[in-house]
Amino acid sequence: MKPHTDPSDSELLQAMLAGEERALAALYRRRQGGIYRFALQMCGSQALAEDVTQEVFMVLIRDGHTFDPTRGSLNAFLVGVARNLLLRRLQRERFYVPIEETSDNDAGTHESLLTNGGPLEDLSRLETINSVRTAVLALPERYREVVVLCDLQEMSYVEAAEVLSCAVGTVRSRLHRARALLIERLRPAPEEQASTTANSARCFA
Amino acid sequence: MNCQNFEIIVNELARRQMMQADVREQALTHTSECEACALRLADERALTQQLCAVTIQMSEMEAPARIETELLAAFRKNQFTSQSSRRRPTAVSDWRYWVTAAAAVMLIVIGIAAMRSRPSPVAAENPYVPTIGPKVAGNLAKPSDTVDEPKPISSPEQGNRLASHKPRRHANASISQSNSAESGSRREASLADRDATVAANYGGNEIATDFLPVGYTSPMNLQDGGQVMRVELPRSTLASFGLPVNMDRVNERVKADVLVGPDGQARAIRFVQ
Repeated sequence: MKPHTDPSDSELLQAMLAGEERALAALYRRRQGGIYRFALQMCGSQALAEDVTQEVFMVLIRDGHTFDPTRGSLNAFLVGVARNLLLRRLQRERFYVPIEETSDNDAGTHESLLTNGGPLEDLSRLETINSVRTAVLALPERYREVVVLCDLQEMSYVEAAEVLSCAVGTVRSRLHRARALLIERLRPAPEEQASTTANSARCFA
Repeated sequence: MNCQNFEIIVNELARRQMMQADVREQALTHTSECEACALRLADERALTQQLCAVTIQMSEMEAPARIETELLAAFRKNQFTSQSSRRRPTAVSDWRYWVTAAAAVMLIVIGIAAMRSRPSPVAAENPYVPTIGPKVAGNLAKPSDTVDEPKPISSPEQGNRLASHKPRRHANASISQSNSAESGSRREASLADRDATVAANYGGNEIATDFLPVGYTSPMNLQDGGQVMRVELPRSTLASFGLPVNMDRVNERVKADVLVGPDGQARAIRFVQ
């Protein structure tokens, strides 16, 4: 019996370009999550992330034949298109939507996180996550995109370099700098640190 | 391993990336010896954990289902459009294409013909360039013995209006020409004198109107050619051609060039100042 294997991205793309609607649906379901999350982590706006996700696949429908498999994977191509669209939109609109914007999806995710520990611990973890997301959004674009790709999307240096159309060494150096900036921004202020130490000392005294 | 080398690989170490085992061992040994590098590694590891928490939190996030619906609808529409555009080049569209192309070519040919039939303004101002027809141009450029001879005018009305323009020198030239016994050199001199006369009459300081058709002459008849004669007319004649007349000078005369056709009838007139 022949084992059932999922068609590759390239095969789905070819089928889609031949007019197969199911191929587009399969490709979309496989790749939309990563593109949507990338856009959301880059801009912090759900509306903008949705627009970008839709536009990426519209580009694939219109200009899918321009994809060259020898230059990288289809996922890298799609994320690269998303990045270009996003940067163009951000440059045009020049605003960032606050991270506090929430939706039903967010609420569902929070529910799943809250089941792991006590309420105080979950609250603390949620605050930490929000502060990290805020710090990532506050990074300059060139550093933000490498953090999103390499740390949040868990891409390799090579894949990130394909998306950004730059050398692997550039990705490494930018990531190094970006993480240093994040550590600086996430480090508590000296007064806050001192008061925490004093309180704990008082408690133990 | 020193601190500088440790700084290069601290990211990979904190992110648990693949690296050589001995390098990893050296880095960990260095952290046990160097407190600053140990703190640096701790910060990096803490950041990695925080970023992992963000990744886990967002791992379930997806675009809303309506986007997929809209995309599939757009895909169907795109397919329909491309199919219909593929069908379009049929025999009917080919027929329309050729008809449109033929019409465009005809328009271009008609336009060129119309432009050629119109006298150019530069030529109208310069009497030595053909303005009305080839015969007129030939007469002006190469004045023959009969160029300025007024032809008989059949219409008495036009005859009254037109006065014969025959300069004195021109008349002398005619006389000298009629005398065939005179020497060739004298004949050449008279022709040169005639050229000078024509040039003087059509000097560059004259201002002339366009040729106005006389009577019900069709503009096509003006292309048959003819002869141009310089005449003098009462100034009141200007009014009959719709031109303004200065009533203070109504008794004065005005110069005009009359185009006389091959049949001797006046075809057109222009007024000269």
